[in-house]
Amino acid sequence: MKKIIITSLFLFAGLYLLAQPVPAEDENIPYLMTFGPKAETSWGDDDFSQTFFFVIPEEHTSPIFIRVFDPDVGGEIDEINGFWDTKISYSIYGGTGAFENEDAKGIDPVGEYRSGNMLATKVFGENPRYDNNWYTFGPFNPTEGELVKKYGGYIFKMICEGVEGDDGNMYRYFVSTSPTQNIRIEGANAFAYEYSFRMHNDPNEVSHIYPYIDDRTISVEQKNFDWDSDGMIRVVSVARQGLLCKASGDDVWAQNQFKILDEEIGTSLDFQFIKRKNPPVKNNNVVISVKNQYGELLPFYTIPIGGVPTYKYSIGVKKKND
Amino acid sequence: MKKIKHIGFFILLLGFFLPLKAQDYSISQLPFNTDKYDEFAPVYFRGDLVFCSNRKNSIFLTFLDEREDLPLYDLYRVEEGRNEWGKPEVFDKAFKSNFNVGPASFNSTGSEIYFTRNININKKIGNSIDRHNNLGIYFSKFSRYRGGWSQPTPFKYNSPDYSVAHPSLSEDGQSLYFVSDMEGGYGGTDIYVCKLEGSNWGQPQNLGPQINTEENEFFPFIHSSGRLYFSSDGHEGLGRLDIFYSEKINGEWHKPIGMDPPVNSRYNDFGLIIDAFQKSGLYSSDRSRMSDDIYSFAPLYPMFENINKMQENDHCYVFYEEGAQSLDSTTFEYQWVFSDGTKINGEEVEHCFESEGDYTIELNVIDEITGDVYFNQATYQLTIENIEQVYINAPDTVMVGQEVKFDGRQTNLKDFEIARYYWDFGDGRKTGGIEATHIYTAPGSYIVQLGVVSKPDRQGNSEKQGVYKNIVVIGQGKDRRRSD
Repeated sequence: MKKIIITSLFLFAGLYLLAQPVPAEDENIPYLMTFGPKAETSWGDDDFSQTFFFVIPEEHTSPIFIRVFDPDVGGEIDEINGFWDTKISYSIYGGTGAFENEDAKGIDPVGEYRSGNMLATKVFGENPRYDNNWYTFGPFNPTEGELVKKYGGYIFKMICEGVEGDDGNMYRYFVSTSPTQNIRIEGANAFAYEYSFRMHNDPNEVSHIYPYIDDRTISVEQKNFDWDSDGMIRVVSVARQGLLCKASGDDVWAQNQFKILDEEIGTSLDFQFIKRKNPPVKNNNVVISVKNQYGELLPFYTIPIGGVPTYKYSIGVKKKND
Repeated sequence: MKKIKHIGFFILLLGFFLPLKAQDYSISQLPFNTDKYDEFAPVYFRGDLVFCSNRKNSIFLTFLDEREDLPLYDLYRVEEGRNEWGKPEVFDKAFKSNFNVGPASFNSTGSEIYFTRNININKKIGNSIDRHNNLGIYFSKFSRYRGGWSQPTPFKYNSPDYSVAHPSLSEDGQSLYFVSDMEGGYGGTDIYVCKLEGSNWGQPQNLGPQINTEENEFFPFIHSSGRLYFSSDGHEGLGRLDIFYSEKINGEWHKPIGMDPPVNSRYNDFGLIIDAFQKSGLYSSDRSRMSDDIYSFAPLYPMFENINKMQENDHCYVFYEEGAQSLDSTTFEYQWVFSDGTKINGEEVEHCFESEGDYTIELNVIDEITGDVYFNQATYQLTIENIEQVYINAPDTVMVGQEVKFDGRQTNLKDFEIARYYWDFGDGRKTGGIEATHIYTAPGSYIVQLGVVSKPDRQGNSEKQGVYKNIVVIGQGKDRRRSD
């Protein structure tokens, strides 16, 4: 199960943020990805479910809309497996437990992961009307979400799941103040505990995700699925020039642990997905999650807390003969 | 036939301006000089001084130069007292004649004299421009038994066809240096040497083109160390006649080195003698522009205490990316760009800068995975200063006979305005100036010292700083200077 949250970030770095497309520009991820439940996991989706959390700042009182781009399964963008026979559901939850329920914060669609009040749901099959087009959920009163003081706002949960078939659904979200346009919400953000997404076909494109490292984090374990050995995964931070992580092959998991540096506390890591140049791999889908030393999942913020982490080079000089 | 211009030098050359150089000697005009007459070519004699002069020595009879209406030259002796000089007297009546009697040289005990005189003394009088009365060298021996000097004996190589003059006898009495315009020289007057073969002087040997030039060389003085001092207007100097010295290395004379100012000047400077330690001495000059006078000189070499060994300026540094974690397993290539124009690729690089100064170092990063190049990811401003010390810029190892340049320009002393530089080459020779040239004549390890003295403060106090440096002189090989 994949979960994404949109959250206000007043509790974090005091950044002036706007709600944004999911995936966001800095992530350079073309599409989120969810397959029909009959697809082989070797297509890249380990559990045919993805959860996002959106948090609307408490101060925001006007209606919001959750828009989905290309929600259907068919057409140019999605990935066909034989013929189009897949149905995908989008369900939006709010109210008590939508986020705070522990099952909601997991990476697998088990237990009460559909916790909270279902505010809206819709199933899409092959539907040219929404192919390469937007579908809008809402309006929602921000207070319909679950108020979580830690995040400074109301949390809405969006679960995208494969219902039937074996095709791949490629889509994006946008939390907007308008039902027909993508208008950002000031102070909002989004995060997920597990990310399932489609890679670029262009080998020169590098995708990013940005897990946030809180002060409880001593070490982390990254775990990725079905990377198809398509290049490498590199971690960059404000203090880390580039740590290569284990990347998975086809239909398998790969993971490794590494220690967190003091300078990385309170910042985001930049997981870079760098495709190999030759031979190029197309339509590659990957799943990734990051846990701390307690096994707690770390959120991937679509707007990285503290900004996109950039390693700060520093020149050291010493006398040759010292 | 070339003629020696004789013992009075009235060469009227246009003066020219000279670059200023540190005054490394104190000079003093001796008090017995006269304004009207010449005094020159002093030699040591039994604790006294013998010199040439055309001063009037009698109110009744003085032979005059026909052309200039001046008395002829004679040898005079003056007593050097503890604090003052005595009154010059005619050296000895035995040598007095109605002709010019000129520069002399004594053996080490003062019992033998070689002196210059007109050859033909049968003429009524002689003068310096008499083309038919050349100069010759004469020898006389002092006899305690007789209580006087013997009748002068002409030098074997005196000739009516050329002049032979300005004798200088080596301390061991085995070599007689002199000047002559005899045929076969390099031009003007040359310096020759005769070796004593039994009781006779061997054939004159020209000292060769390293010493003799197309112009004139005069007044040789062979020091007990073997160093030859002489005057020349053919070697590069400060103007007109200057005083030079040279020594034999591997049997050959090295390139003559001029004496520093104020001994040498843009006027005629000649007839130098120097003490056994080659520190102080006497010489002649017409810089007063009235007549030739005798000057004394002494080195102005102060004592330098607390001399430290010089440290070499190290402008070599190692550059690295100081934030890189060892756990990083990815590969980035670094390109280091130095403002002196150097570019070096590498994770950790070494670079030596030519000199002190301000430099900028930029780090370009090449992502070997993506191929992206990130320019100027970090910048470092590096200021390199020389060690605060007196600095001797000179090679560590040199060859015997090699002309070695010593340079003190890289001295870096804060709040210390240098007034004078003092070099001690460790072989007993010293000089001054911000730079100096020296030739070692024997192999060995030498300690070269450079001391500097600051300009005096308002109270007139000066500070001194100094360093020393070891220099190894290798004896093998030829005179490299000559082979260059």
